[in-house]
Amino acid sequence: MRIVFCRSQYRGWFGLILAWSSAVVLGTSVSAQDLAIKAGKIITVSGPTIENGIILVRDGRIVEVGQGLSIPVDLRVLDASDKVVMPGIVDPHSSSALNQANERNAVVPFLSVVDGVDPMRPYFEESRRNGVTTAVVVPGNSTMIGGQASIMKTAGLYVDDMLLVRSAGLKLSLQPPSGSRMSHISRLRRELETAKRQLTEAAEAKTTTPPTESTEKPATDPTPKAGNEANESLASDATQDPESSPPADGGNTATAESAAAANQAVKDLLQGKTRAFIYCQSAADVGQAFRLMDDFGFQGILVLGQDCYQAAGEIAKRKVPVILDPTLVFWKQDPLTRTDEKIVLPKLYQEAGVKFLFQANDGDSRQSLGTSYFWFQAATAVRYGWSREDAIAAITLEPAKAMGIDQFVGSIQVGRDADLAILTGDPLDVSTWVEQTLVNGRVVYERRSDWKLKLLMEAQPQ
Amino acid sequence: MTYWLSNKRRLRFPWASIGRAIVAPVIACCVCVGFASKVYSLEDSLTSSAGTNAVLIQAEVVHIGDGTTLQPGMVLVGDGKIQAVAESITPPADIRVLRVAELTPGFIDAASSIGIAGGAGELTSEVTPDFVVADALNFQDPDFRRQVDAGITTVHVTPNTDNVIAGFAGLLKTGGATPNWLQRETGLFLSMCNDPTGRNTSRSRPETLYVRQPTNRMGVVWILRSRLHSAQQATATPTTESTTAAAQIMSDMVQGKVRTYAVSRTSYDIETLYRIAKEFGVRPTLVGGDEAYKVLDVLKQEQAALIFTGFSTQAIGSEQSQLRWNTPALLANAKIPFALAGDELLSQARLAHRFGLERETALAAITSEPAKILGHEGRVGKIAAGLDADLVAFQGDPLQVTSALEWVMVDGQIYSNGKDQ
Repeated sequence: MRIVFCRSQYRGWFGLILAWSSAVVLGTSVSAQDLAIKAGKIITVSGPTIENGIILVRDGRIVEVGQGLSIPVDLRVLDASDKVVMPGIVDPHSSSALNQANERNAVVPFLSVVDGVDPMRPYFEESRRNGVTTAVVVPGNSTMIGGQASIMKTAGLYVDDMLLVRSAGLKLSLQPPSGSRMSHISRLRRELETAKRQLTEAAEAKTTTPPTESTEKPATDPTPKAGNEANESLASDATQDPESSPPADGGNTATAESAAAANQAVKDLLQGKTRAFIYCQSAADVGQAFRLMDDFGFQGILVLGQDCYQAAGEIAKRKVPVILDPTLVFWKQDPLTRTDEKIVLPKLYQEAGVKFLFQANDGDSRQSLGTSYFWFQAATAVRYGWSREDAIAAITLEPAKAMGIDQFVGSIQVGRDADLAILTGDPLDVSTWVEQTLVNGRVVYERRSDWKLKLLMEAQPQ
Repeated sequence: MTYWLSNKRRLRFPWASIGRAIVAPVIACCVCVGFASKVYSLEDSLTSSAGTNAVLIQAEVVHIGDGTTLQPGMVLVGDGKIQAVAESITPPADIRVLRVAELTPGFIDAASSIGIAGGAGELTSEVTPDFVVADALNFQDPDFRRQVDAGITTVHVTPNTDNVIAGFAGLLKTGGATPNWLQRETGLFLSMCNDPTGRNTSRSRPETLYVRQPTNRMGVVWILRSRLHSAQQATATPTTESTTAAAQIMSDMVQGKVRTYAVSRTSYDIETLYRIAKEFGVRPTLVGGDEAYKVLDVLKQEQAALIFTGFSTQAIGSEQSQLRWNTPALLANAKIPFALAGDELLSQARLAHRFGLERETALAAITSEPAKILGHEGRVGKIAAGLDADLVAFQGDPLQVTSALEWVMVDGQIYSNGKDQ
């Protein structure tokens, strides 16, 4: 996305302006955000839509929603009485927040996107412009064990200010970047086995304490035995770990460089402390993902490539959350007969009984005009038979639920973060614009002062 | 559009005049009917037209394609043509009646590249005016079916931009068992852009470095200008060399007998294009126009028509051109005739509307405007009596992303929209 720096000679200025405006925003964020929003229409998502309602915000949280509320005198009033207010959109899977989404090394579970997120990336600015307030930032699709995902708000100067969930899951990819699938899956299994063995050994080492950590059922019998013998000397660090510090503390201890700590994230996954984002390129990968989840007993969210629709029935049975490829409608030729078939992902998955979430494209592709917008994705689903309510929930509350953050974001109700998108009209209407975006009760985007949008929409007839 | 000089070598369609003759009174009738009885009997004309595939379409909204609408409207189709359009038509006995929410003309992609078998760029020469896309067209290419599915009923298949003078484009329908050509050779395509310079990057053929030209933008201009100059010379004093097919076409071109299209995207290329065009008295139709918003005055002065392929939701386009999302609206405001082209026409029209283009103008930009720019407004591009029965039925407002296509009609034949409806 090159929207930010469209003219290189202006880069310096852009940077200055960005830094200045961010500083201003940060300055205001220090004080508590108390606000009353008068809305023409409130799409709460969690409950019925409220006409001519009021949202009261204190300390960045929604404290009251309803019709005819009296507005306390100390609250600043944001008049959106001719606007539609919806919860901020939740992006369930994005790697665009990272300068480099994939690693050369295939196995890097110790990495975290927190160290790689650049809040100045155009992704965040575009997100605010389009009403996206929460982003699940996930390592790329082509690293076998790609590191840990984080959930963050889309406004802020420092990653730590933006974080909602620091460790939101471990990215696994079943697509071999090169070489065979056999070796890829084999290596992945080996890594998981190693982590499992280390866990077993750690549990055995502390014989005095009850094995609270070994939540796993004793599957895969032969491997731990073989591993025990071979690993006795190798994993001396690992066996020392539980003595010096409680294992639940994770890898951020003094011995963080040890092999045991390096794959702490994998252990967390196997212990059910976190989930996996599993990228599946093809339907066969979906089967592999389920096998891995069964064999090692972990939870996962599937990030599906285009061809995965062939496994829709299987996905429906498992009831795991899935995230669709951003290209929702495409053509596919049968390799044998050359028969052309139109694949409409939202329709296929819905018919199979799969609940799914949307992704948006980075926006570079001229092939798929519009798929960089979540409203466009949701509207596409409506075109193929979804209800408008379901489509809006699929970009707000549903991803929040899938990520386990629905007590914070995804709906407009008391106690939720005041993450709101204020729109000029119906969210799925082609001529609706995001007028303002609020994160934690503070305005982080305003269309009327969006000079970049103004530039791109030069001399728009009013 | 007086600047499009007729071409003796190319096929001319009598429909242009016939169509106009029919459309005007029918539209007039519709308007009258709207105020008067609301019933327009067509029994006289039906006896001849209710022949093959006759169908009456009743729509809540008929988007005529020229910026006007009928609400409600009816369209009578027979023999692959639109027989009548009115607010109300008494259905003839035993006719098939279809009810739809909204109806638009079939979309016309004025700059398509589908179906060209074996590549569209010629490596051995940068000037190939006697090349014809129609000769290499594979109508079995699934892209044609895919276009029908997307509501695109007519495509202008153009050669690619690797050659400075690339050859002739062709205009045909996307539906049917065999190609239905509106015009096998619509006009000669030139590339007044940087694309032809990208040809020398091949490392596997070192000899091409010395043979192939141009290697920069000045080289493109040089080739174009020198060929036009030679053609002008040859026209003035014919020699034996000027009797080749290629030379004849070039000669026709500088005499204005061949319609020309030129691909230019950046503002400086557009300016160069019209400078050269003026030197040689050529009147090219502009294709591309990413930065057209920068040179609206030039386009107005040259009475240019634009086949706009620079629509995007990005800020940077091909050749690092600087895009403006509302270029279509700016063109419309400046009254420069333009068509949205280059695939995904419906999404283009929808997003162009989002970015400021008035709704019926957005639909016209993918229907009647490309028809006019290509010189076939007498055959396609509008819902009017006498024109080909190319229609798209929608389940709602065609400009909303939430509205599904119900079916697509090409030459009176209905294609349901795949399996997905």
